[in-house]
Amino acid sequence: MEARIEQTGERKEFSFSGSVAAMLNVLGVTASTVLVVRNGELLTSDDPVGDDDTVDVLSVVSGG
Amino acid sequence: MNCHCGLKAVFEHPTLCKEHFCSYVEDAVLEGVRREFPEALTAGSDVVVGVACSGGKDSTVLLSVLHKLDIAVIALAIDEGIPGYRDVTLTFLQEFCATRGITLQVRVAPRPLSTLTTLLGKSPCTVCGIFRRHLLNEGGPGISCIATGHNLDDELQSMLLNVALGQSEQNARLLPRKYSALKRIKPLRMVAEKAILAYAVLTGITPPYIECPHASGSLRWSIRDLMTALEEQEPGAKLRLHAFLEEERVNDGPAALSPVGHGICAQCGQPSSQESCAYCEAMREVMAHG
Repeated sequence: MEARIEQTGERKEFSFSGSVAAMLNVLGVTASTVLVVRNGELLTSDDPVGDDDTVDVLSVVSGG
Repeated sequence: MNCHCGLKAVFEHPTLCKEHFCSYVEDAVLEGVRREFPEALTAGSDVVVGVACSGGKDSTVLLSVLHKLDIAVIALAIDEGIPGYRDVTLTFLQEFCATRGITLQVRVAPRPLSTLTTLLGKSPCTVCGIFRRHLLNEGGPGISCIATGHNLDDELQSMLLNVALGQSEQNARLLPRKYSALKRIKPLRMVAEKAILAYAVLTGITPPYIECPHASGSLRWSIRDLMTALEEQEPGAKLRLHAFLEEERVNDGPAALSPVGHGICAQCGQPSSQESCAYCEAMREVMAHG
């Protein structure tokens, strides 16, 4: 699967099958600071994601 | 994970589907306006709310929801001259307002921020605050009050900052109040930052992801990180801390908001604890240097 991480601008490709919460854990991203979006759809922590998916990991904090 | 209506949830805490979540945010904004500036909801009134817009998600969502609620709005933006940041957010804001038929007024600081900080010998955040506050307080033709996009996380950070600096009595001053002729309101102050981003995603509001180059390293930044760590370890801690400090400052309100020591600037008429406010002092320095 592919995860595009907004805060760092990184694109990470890795093999994964599991929940959004587990995916964020693998990515080392703090769950309370992000929203995960797939095809414009907001995902919750228990939604399944897998190798065919591309997700955007949006940072809650911005501005300054 | 499902909403109480049985549809798939799009958000957690509260766990709601798209339709119920959008209503939850819009109702919170409506309640905020009712609480802080009910005149804006009077049918047939000529009230116009000036929304202080940065081009970020919070103020853009506030502008969008107020507009959707049929409250007359004007977008007010301050251009402090921060290259690579403010120009990007202003471009987004111009397009956002143009496509929705919302008037946008942009005020420009007298010099770019980097020039002002060198000239005044103060930190960028201090200088930016002085000019933004003054220019927003001026309002504009026909504007009845100023609404800012401060959210629950911003408010919690500000209150904790005051506690950390030993000035917790200042927390009541963060509550909506009148500055010079215009009242300042914060209709989003009970809505978490994460919920605001979710609303933006669900309604197709796509502000650029960009952070002010001067933001990192500030004390607020450290408190934000502390709150994130606390929330991870103890979910719901932020809400509980906010509720505690909110109750305390509301109880402190009348005393802390007394006019003692807070007068009016003799030059510009805006609130100031000194005879001349920080903005007028800064402008004197700017003019002296040409």
